[in-house]
Amino acid sequence: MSKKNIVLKSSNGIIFEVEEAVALQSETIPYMIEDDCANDTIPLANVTGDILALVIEYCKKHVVVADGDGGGSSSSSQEDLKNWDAQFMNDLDQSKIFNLLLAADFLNIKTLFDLTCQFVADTMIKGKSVEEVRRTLNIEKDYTSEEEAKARQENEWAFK
Amino acid sequence: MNEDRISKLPEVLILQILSLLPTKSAVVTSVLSKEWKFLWKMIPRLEFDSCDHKGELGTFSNNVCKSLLSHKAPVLESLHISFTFDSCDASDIGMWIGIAYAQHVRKLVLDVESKGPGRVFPLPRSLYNCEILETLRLTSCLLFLKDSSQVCLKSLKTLHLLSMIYDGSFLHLLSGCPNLENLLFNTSPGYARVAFFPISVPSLLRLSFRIQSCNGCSYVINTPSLKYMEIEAKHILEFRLIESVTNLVEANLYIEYISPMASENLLRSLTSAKRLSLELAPLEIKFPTGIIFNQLVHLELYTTREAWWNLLFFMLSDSPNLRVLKLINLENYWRDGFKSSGKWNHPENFPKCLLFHLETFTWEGYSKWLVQEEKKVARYILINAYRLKRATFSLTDMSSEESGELIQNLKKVRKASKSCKLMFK
Repeated sequence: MSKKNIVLKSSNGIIFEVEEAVALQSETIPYMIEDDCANDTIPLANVTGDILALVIEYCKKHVVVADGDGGGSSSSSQEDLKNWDAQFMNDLDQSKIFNLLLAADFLNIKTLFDLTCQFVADTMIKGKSVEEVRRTLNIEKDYTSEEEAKARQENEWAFK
Repeated sequence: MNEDRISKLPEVLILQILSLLPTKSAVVTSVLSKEWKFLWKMIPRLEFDSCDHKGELGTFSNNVCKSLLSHKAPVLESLHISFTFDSCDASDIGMWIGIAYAQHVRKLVLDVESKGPGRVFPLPRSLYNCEILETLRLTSCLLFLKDSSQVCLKSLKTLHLLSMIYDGSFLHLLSGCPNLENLLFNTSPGYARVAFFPISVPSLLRLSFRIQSCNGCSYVINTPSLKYMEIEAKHILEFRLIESVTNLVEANLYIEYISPMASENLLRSLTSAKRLSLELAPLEIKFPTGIIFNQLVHLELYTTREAWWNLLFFMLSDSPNLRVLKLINLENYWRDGFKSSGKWNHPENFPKCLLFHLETFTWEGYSKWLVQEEKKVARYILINAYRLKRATFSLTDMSSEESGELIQNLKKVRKASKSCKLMFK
């Protein structure tokens, strides 16, 4: 029995052909298939080719384990998947991470969306000082020193 | 290249990220830039810990009140406050609760860092009146209720009470939660002032309790809708169901000592279960007669108590549809008591489940410390289970020579099921 494939086209015209099960981890794609059944290629106007490649890499990894050995998947495979996720995120630069977050949101892939949000929270903000967060995320300080001191004072406890 | 990407995200995505942070880190973002000043006030979950609020008495409470009052999220999904005894008093808690309830909080968690049963935090009455609260978790608090008319928690679905002092208040609290579905409570020794736990909640679906008190306790339960039950107890004197639980799907019971009458009632309550996990002392149990576990598919049995095989014998005989049997041995040392604790006798009537249904047999911790009777159990199952597909023995705590001998002995057994895969881990 041949598996059904789905063809996805990125905003810059790059074509990806993936198995249906891989693509259907996105909750957006099924609607696009219904809307556009005459045409086999699904255009994704918001996602560039390099990011779509990452999304597909993630979905492929997660589909394999999901129907692995008939529901008998052990906790070690869950553990492996977690490690894979961590490595996957660690290998990306910041610009890719934010593009991936937007793509996961647009394509409505919940686990990937949660993964990227958690990664941003944990590695770019959590436990860091104001200056460190600004530096990490390139946020421009538009407060004067007096204004900033006042803002800190409002919730002094959080800065100790 | 060094672009500020995060500030350009749609607000809903920034809030999603902020809500994954500890509240303290989320508050820090208010100083990043003017755009960020109020964003943290929109996050749906807040948590405060008095350890983060050093200073004079009242500092912690003031900070919590201020943060709550300036909070702007349309729904406060969850408020979690952890505090030490000396960081606030009951009136402070009353204030937090007042503000949180006005902001329609759905889940409230109050964790007191306990210094033992003598020092338990009294809770204000305002806590027990909220139409919207869905989840309440309390640790090391004193409920302090004189009667049930003070309680009205109509929407409460989940109630967790951890290391609380139990007195008559417990009963009053439950009677004010008409829609409760999940109840979990536990005690440490010294925390229970009562030995009688009447649990009457007709809406309850899940009941879990862990009572470490060595004194025998009585449980009179009226939960006809119950689907899941978990009991971990040292000593059960009385167990009685007012109405039978015909929807029970799963039960996990780990009980050190149980009176014969209570054990009979308890086993009788399990007849609709699909999954059971049991650690009971068979020598104390009175096995009920005339009951059948028709629905039971998955049975897990701990082999820690003397003559545990009596319980297996009983369960195999009366569970005609059992498909999965798992035995768990946690204790790898010489068990003298086991040698004199009776023999494994073949069930008189051949168990139907062995003939038609048992497919998976697992023995965790199959070791050299097992007594002869226990090894007979393993042989009996292999010899008699006609539909067995997989038998797995996980061998622990032995030299390769010792485990080799055990494996050889199991391999020699003439299995009833020719297609059974014998596996060793």
